[in-house]
Amino acid sequence: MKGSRRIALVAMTLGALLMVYPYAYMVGSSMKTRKEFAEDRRSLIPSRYQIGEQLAHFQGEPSALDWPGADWSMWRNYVDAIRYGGIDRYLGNSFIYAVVITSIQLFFNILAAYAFARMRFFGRDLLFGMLLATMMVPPAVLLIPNFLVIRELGLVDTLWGVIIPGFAGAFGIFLLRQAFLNIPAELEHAARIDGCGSWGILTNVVLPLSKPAIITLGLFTFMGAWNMFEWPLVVLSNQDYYPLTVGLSLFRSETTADWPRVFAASVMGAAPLIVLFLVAQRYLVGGISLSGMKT
Amino acid sequence: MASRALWAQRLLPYLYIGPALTVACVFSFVSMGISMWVSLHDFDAFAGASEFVGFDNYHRALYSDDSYFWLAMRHTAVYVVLSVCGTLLTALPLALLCLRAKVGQALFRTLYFLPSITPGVVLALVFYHIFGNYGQLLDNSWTALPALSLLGVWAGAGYNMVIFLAGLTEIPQLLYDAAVVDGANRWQQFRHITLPMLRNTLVFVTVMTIIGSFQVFTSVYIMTSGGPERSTEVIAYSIFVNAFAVAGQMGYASALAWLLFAVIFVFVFLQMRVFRSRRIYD
Amino acid sequence: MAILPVARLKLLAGILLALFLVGGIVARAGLTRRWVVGLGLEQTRGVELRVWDWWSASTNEEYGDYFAAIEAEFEARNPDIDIVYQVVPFGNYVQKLSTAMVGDTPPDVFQSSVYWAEGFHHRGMLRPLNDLLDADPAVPGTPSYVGESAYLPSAWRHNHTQGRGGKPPVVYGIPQIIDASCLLWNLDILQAAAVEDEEIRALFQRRDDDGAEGDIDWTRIRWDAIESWDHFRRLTRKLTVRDEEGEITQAGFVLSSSSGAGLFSPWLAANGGRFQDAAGTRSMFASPNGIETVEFIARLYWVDRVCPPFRRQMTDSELFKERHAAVVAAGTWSGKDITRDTMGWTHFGKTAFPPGPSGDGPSTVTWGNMLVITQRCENVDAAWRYVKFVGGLEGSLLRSLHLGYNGPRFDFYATERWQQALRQRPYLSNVKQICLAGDKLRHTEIIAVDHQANPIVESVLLHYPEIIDGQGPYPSVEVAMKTAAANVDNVYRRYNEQVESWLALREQARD
Repeated sequence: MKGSRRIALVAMTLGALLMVYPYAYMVGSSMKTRKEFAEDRRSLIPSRYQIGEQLAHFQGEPSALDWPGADWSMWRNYVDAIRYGGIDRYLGNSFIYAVVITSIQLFFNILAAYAFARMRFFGRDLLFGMLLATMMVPPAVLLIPNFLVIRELGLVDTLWGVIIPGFAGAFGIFLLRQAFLNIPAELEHAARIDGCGSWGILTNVVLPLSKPAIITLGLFTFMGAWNMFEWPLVVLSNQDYYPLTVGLSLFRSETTADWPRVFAASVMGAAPLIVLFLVAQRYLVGGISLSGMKT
Repeated sequence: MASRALWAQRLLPYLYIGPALTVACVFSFVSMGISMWVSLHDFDAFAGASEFVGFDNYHRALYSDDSYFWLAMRHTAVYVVLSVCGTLLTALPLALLCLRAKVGQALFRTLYFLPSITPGVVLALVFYHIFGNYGQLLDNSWTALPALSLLGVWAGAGYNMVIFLAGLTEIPQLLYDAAVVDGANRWQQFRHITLPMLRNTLVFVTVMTIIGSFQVFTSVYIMTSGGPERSTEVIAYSIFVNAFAVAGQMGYASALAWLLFAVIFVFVFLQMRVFRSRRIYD
Repeated sequence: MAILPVARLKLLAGILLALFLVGGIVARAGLTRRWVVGLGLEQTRGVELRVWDWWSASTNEEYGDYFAAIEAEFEARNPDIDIVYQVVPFGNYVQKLSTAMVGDTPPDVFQSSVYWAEGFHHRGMLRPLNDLLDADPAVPGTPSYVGESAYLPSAWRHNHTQGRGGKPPVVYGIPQIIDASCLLWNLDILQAAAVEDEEIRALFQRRDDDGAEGDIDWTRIRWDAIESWDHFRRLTRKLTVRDEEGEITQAGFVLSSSSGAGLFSPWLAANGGRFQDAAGTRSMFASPNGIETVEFIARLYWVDRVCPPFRRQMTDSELFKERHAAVVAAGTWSGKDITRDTMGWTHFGKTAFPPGPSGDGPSTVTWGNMLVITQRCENVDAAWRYVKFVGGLEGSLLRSLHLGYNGPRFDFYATERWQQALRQRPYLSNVKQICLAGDKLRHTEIIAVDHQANPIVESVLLHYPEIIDGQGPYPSVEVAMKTAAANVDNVYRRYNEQVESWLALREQARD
């Protein structure tokens, strides 16, 4: 038993290294100068920091430290990405899209989920079925149709054009409805006796008790909105509105040879969600286990 | 007075579901309707519709020699098959290993999960170089598509591993204990207990992977642009190129999108039934 | 398994995240400028002119300098106009423009490649300039005149329609530059080889510039130095250097497999062929000249072996900049990028493409990218002033000063600035002749055409030996090219049908 455990541990560790390697490569390459990257694409550490090169230089032999740019600071590419690439602008946009989409979608979803869970009204099941049906069309198929709707609404190349389709979250409604159904009905009856209307019950009873589900849904929506790529790519052309994902692809088209700078921008693009993930792991992982939700 | 309140109360639920339902319906039913209309016309994103062509766009997609459809579907199908096999062959063993290793499960889950929360664009940019450094996989028309599939499998490994972990932990331990008592070895335990009990999870992961990989776009757009020699031209990329990068072919692209929908529909239907079985909704 | 106090770590991470998120809003979320302007908090000048271009300061800082100079000079003379530039990468241009034109903030003026201009015009995106040209008070022959007679003929080919049914051609763009494809030669390598090789020595210019008299000018190569394709093959074979393992350390000529149709157009022109007919209704590249051309290129790689293995990541221009290539195919605009990326190297030269067996005389393909005004421009007067400034002599001089470009106008070549440029950048010495010698570059529905033709050309190049053996993806090169031609013809046919219906739509709308 012990032996197989050890093997499993080793295997998992190797796998984890494979997982982490591309990130290490990204960070390492982001610190290289263009010349260093052109000369040595594989190494994780820029030449000028490698011990071998330092030794050679110390001994008076030719080394990477003699190349122009050896005094290039570690953070130079990050600074350049902001100064010349405008990455801060894209990060800000990503953040705004993510926050607006998440908050409004949560708001709409909570209302709808509560209505479907607890209210009785004519056509409830039919409408719920319609909601189910809206989930059946995969995003790739909806790309052109949604663009056409946005075009009709005159919202092409605007913020709202990017955000509005994100208000639709049928999956979130299902999840929340499930969570709301799990709240004992007596609590709601008690609140109603105390004189609460629907809104009161919602805010005082239902929401506090379903916090985990809401937080999970909110996190997933946030991440999904942050990682949006195809939709903003198609709807936007004014760079002032680009989220980070589209900004990165623009970056890559423009700077044909300055890959370290592109990597620096990529690190800045990946970091926020990683931080968010580390902080809120519990909810995210728990959420998937529960329902297999997709970011 | 009372009737006013009653009336308001009867309207209230509709107010509650109104916003979400409206947006959801507009951006699926209404938009698909418009898309069907466009697919029957010659349509340019700027100039608008120019003339009604009936099913010509569909005909061209399915029968024309220079059509994008069959080529792209072939490539997409290969990608899907590779992705499903790759996913099942990595995520399930990983979950089993993770359980068996017992220590560090939380840490492993975190590390393996990283790619799932990284934007696809970032992963594509990094792997563009990794694939280039080790074998120039993207230059060769035989290895380019499998390389993209490898990226997809790698990126989804942690996410799917977590799903399998959840499925595995639901299997009651006493089933295994009983099997051990009956003299079953590990392989037999796996075949007769684990796999059957995981059936739902397996179906779920498979269907989700299929639906997801049919729509692969970002890695193609960033890394290969459909090359080399069109070997990575997948259907979502073809749709994009025809709809937006080229003039006047939005009708054709819409037809392609509808054809894609027809193909995926079977799997989407399965997905609905799988959700049902996981009791996501009643 | 917690090594650090996890709770504390999470709190810290949470604070960092909150700080970052707030900082994200504060740090120039791109929306703020428009809000501020909308609220009237920022004073803008009278008219805002949105100008797009694919020239980007990220690719080369000199573009940044150039745009700064143009903006400063123009805004000084026109204080009521505020120019706002946006860079859009070349590969995404059509998509971005189509989106912007139905969106909120379309550009007013943009630089259009000749690849797209015709399509944009037919779709109705461009504002015709005939009325502006007719009303222009400038006299032909003066620096601010931007009519046809001011420009080299090859610059004024792509910016107007053919003019059918007795109607005059519709002009939709004013040329800004003149470009040509050319061969780029590493003169360090040539000079070193010329010590022992008579033939290579003869490629260089002589100081007196006529005949074989006079000292060799090692900084300049003759624009028509290569006399035939065999001559080219001989030279590149001589210039290919291998190491002990047979790997190429210095390439005679570098091909890039993925530029397909674009790669083969100038060679085709040099072989007396054409890619398409003038009206854009049928392809002409699958002619015997065309097949001969593709075979020649494929054989350079497979038989003459002057080129290192195809790689997506290492482009031909990168190899050239690293001095590992004797010759590459490039453009008359390539000089400054090379100089900047190599920290100042200027010892290279440009020639036209040598004549093939069916061609006569050195040739290439030329074009003039142009400035256009969009239909959604609301300040046509301001836009026209900008176009005249940039398209006039002053604009050409600024482009020469900052970017080392040669201008599309006749009067440009008479200026002192041009003479100065020739002295500073000797690689410019042949560009005028090269630009004059070229044929019209293909121009119809290029993106769709390339999407059909490039993979096939790429296939032929990559699998040439197998095709010759009969085992390849196509039974022969001829069949491959004819397949490509058939597909491209379909593209043209569909495009022309659409043009008819767009024209009809616009006629209807006008009535």
